[in-house]
Amino acid sequence: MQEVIKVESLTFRYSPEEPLIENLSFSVYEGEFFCVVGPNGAGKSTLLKLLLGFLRPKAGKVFLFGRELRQFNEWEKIGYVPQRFSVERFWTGTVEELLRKVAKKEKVGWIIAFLHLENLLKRQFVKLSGGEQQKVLLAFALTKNPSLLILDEPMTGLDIHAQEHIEHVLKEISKDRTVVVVSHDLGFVMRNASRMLCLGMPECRLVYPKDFGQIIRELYGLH
Amino acid sequence: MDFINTIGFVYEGILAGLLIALSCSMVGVYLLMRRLSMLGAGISHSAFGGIAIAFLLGLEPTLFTLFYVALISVLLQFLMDSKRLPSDTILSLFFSFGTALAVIVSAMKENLSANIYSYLFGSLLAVSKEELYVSLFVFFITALAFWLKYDQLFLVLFNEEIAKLKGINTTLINYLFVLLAGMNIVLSIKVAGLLLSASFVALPSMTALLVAGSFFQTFSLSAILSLLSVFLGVVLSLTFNIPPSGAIVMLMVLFFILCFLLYAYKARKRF
Repeated sequence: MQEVIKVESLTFRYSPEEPLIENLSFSVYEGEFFCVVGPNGAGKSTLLKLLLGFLRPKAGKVFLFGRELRQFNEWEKIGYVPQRFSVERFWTGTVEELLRKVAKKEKVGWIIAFLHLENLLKRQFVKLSGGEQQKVLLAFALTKNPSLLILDEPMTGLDIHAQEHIEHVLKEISKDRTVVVVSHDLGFVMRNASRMLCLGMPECRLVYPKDFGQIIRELYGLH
Repeated sequence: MDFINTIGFVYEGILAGLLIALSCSMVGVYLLMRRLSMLGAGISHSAFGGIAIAFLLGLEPTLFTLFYVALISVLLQFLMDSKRLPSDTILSLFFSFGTALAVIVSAMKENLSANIYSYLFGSLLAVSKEELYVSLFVFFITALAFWLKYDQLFLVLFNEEIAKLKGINTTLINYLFVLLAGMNIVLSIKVAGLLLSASFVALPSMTALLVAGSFFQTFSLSAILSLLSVFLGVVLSLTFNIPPSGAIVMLMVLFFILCFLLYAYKARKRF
């Protein structure tokens, strides 16, 4: 199976005394639903930023689709959904403006239909509900039909109905692409992940479904 | 007839005012969306220091201050990018430095303070032909930048990480538009005066953000409100013999209040 992401001995620290990520190595393979979990401050979102080149590691390498990050230039293969709270709240663009900015009308038609965005097209992004915003961010990430989709906390701040809907959509999307999700929602992780990476333990660990329950209890101190 | 004759005498100022208002309205939307509404005040007061130095050295004040502020803008963006201090702290530092510099320089030579302090209130009607050409040039490059970089700006203002993944050089976009903002603010000082120049950048764009239904509408509405304020402000100024900068900014405030009431009425109707 093809390695979509390969991380080799990755180290990153915000301050010299405290390494946030140290000597981390793992691979994500084609078709996986790979989740990254861990308590607050464990470095989950930092890891995503390192994978996408927004931050530079102190040591180690990241490979995307077999190419080292610095040489990688096929960004249309990657769809990224940031935390929706990171979108500027004074931004006045509409959903239609956003989607049409990166792809032609006929190319986004299937996404609009698939995510039921027809009624949202003329509305301003910042005035949508949390669930609607998340759907639009997903649609935006899918405009170039990427083979790898990376999501940062897609369930945060959503009500139960919106969570169910986004989970359903992600399941559908993951049938023909690799998905990497950073999530706090342990139920979501246990239901969907083919493997998970636990940050914030004495040693970062890659875990298979049969051990999910035990590791999550250990990680969050649950009984 | 008198009114038309007067316009004939001051057409350079009116034209420069319309051009500056138009380009300020565009950079204003950019600044507000980046939560840099205080940048207008920060740069105009920094420019005050530049104006004072120009008079001290006997240089042409508008051209010298344009270059001076271009450097200040680049430094500002650099400091904001370094993220060591919050943007408003950096801006207030530049604000204080520029004002203190102007106050010190104005006391260095006799008769210097009258020239320097005349920039506090500006005068649209005293714009020279050369200043009109400079305004036309700055308007042209501002309009060109918005036209060529509109789509990139759209994504950078939405989310910088997404923009980076789409291959957009977000650093270049931010430096470019802060630089353009700085140059436009310098020119607005001549028209509106240092004390009111930040209004040219902030007020029309703030009003547009309140009522516009899309990104494109925000830029269009901000431009329309700016042009309308300058045109009507000049008419009021010539009719009632009041300072044009005060009349223009008062109209900008009036438009804001009207749009705010409309916005509040609509919001109330929805619930």
